[in-house]
Amino acid sequence: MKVNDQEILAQLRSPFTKELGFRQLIETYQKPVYQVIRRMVLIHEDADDLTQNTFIKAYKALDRFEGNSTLFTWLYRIATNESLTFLEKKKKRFFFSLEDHQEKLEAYVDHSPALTGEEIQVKLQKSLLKLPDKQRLVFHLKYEEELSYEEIAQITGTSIGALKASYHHAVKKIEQDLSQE
Amino acid sequence: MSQIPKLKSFQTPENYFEELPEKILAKAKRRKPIPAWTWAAAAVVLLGVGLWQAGGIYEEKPVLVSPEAEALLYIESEQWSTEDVLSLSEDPNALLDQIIEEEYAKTAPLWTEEETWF
Repeated sequence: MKVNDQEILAQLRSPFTKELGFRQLIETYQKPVYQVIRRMVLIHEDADDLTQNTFIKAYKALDRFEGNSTLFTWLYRIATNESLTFLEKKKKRFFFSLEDHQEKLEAYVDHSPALTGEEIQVKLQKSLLKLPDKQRLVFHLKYEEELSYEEIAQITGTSIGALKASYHHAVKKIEQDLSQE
Repeated sequence: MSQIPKLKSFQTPENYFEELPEKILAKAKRRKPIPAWTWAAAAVVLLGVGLWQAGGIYEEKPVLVSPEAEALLYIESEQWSTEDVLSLSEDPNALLDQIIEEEYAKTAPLWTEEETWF
């Protein structure tokens, strides 16, 4: 049975059906939330942790959900924030000379069977890794997820003009990078 | 644009999405545990105090510094590296996250309109 946002929200707001509502929320949105996180952090174990955190944060912050956006864009906002915070932390850790997460991700792209072993997929992932994280996120949301600029603006809290410019730059860089190889 | 291929969806371990809701529900119900590094730090302090006391009983030598100051001396004299200190903790990642939080507490929020997206 497919449930819609209104049904999920009604269940979540009643103390008698709250747990059922939370389960419905997870079952409805777990795949897109996981995929958007995985595209950013690449490694399954990291994406798994962040997906779990996203739903738990959403559950705890439910009282602050005003219904001005859809559950989908609200969850994506939490998920993308989680992913960017995670990547930022990894970079700051490298400042303390423990590990270079960027190198780890590049090595993952080269060796992971999860990338299906297709040369063009590996090339594209490597090009994407050269972009700043937020530009990479905009590219994923627009090109891969095919979201509208309005939806991406809701998710990121950024103006449509800035998003268009960011996306344009990302596409140019990827095209250049792919044509050079 | 036509030359950029679409990325394929990532594969996941078998039954991952069947099991994920249960994992999240269980985690949401669990009470937040005291971070492992707190226990590790407490254990180090207790061990230090114990050794300090034992030293006082079995050897009559006066103790010049507290265990905390002694640890600091090891760090400052570079006898203990960052990795040594982290290895004392059960959860070095939590310790690192705490350091990062403290070091970068005043950084700007993640999403700001003025930020460069290019």
